[in-house]
Amino acid sequence: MWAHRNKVAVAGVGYSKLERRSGRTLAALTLEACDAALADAGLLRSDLDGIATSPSMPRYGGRKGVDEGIDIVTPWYLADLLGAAGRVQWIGSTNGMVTQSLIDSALAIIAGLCDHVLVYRSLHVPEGRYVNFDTAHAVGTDQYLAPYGFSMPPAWAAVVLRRYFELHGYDRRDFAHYIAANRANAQRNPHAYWRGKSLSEADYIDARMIADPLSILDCDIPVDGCCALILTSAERARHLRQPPALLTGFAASAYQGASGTPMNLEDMWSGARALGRRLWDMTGLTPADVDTAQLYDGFSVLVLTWLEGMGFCRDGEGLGLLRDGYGDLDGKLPINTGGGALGEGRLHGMTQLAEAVAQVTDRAGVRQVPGGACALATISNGLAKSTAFLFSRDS
Amino acid sequence: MTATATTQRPLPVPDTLSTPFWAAARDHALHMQRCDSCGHMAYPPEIACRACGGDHLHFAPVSGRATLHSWTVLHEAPAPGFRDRLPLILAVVELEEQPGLLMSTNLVDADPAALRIGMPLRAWFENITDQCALVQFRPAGR
Ligand SMILES: [Zn+2]
Repeated sequence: MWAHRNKVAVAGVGYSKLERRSGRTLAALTLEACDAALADAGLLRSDLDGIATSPSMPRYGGRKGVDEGIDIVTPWYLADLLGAAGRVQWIGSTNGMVTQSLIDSALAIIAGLCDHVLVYRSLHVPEGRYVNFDTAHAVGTDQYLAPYGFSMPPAWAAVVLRRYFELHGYDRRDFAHYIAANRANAQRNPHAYWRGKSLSEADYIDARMIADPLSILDCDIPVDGCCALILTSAERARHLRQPPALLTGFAASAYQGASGTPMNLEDMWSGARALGRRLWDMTGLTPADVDTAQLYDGFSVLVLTWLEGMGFCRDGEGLGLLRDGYGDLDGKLPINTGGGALGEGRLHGMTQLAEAVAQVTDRAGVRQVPGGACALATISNGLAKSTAFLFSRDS
Repeated sequence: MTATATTQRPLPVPDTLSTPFWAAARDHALHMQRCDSCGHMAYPPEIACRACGGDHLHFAPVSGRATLHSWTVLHEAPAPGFRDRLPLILAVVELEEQPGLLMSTNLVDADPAALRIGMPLRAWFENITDQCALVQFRPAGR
């Protein structure tokens, strides 16, 4: 078992407004979220001595984020904006997912490098279509995908969903209950992009196809915005404004799986299973100990591969369980209680982390799961760069 | 639209690793990279063998026989160069030579409603330009 179990805590959470296309710069949105997180914790900018993110700007076929403050916000730039550049002891900037930054930040605190670390994720929606491979040159890994039109992540996820449906005898109607209930969760979350816009099962079944059988409602919504977390030691957190969300353990993966396609069902199960084994070994807990599961849902199908891979049920059973209400707010295992990325907006796992924190600190308001003492958060698709976290309530 | 916007289908830009693959495709042959030490095949090409770590890898011809692993159907063009090809079937195929040897490609001459996991497929090459042929797949026996 991990020696530093429950020794690091999330002490504050902050959001900017999440908008489809904000008229404000990404830097301004980032500052708004970071100041909100500091205020939530009861800290000042002058308390920060660590800062971390994964500043990448994913885009397919066009310009990838290059303009500081406009479509990326690196931690060095943000440190300057916050007036913390002279004080920051440690900076993390990872490739892959921002959640790797969360692990790095926890370790920096354990190592004594810093006391209060800001972990944030800023994302920008470029002009035009988000996915549109409008260059004639397919270089690097794109050369094996883009000439076939396989240059869009929704298509990568669609072949996984198709295989899941075909192998296990499901179709989109089986997903409708979960998707509608997930959107209902978003109605109870003041940060959610889709707050105020409910969704019926029929809306889902009739939704516009992006890559059949994956519809627009199976994809998270790209937004301009930022979410930020403040990490500190559990000991220090107990003297701050909010109850601490204790980091019980985590797991990360470098498992690539078969190449030739960016995602495939069997490898996502295998990757999630490997992450699960590490997480349960590190924490001494099991799926039965989890009260809420915040499962990454950049695409709806990922909820299934995480649910099954992490060991809550057998492969292929997940969708039947969701259809029957297993993941509902009052179900056996409430899933994505804040609406997830599908309902809250694309922030690459920050929605999952922020909701896990809210649930174990009794701050989820009308969507609070009674007795929610242990929350799982999983991020990405189960393959390399994926992470999983357990957060616990302070007793 | 940016200054680089094009109505052309994106074309592969061969590099050090991929030049033999695309050269074979231009001759309407499907070649896969094979490890000299253990025989493991890789696609896309790798610098070292993922199965054994060996760094002697050479391209060798394969049969072009495959089965359908999964697919999706696009009714809107994923890029401007695909507007005259809708509906476009994007497929993942598993090559006969090695379990788990997957390739992303297109299916042509296929009815989307008749597709099934495991159905047999054959490679087929389409000349996109004088310099570029892409491997596509079609139902076997057609
Ligand atoms: Zn080998």
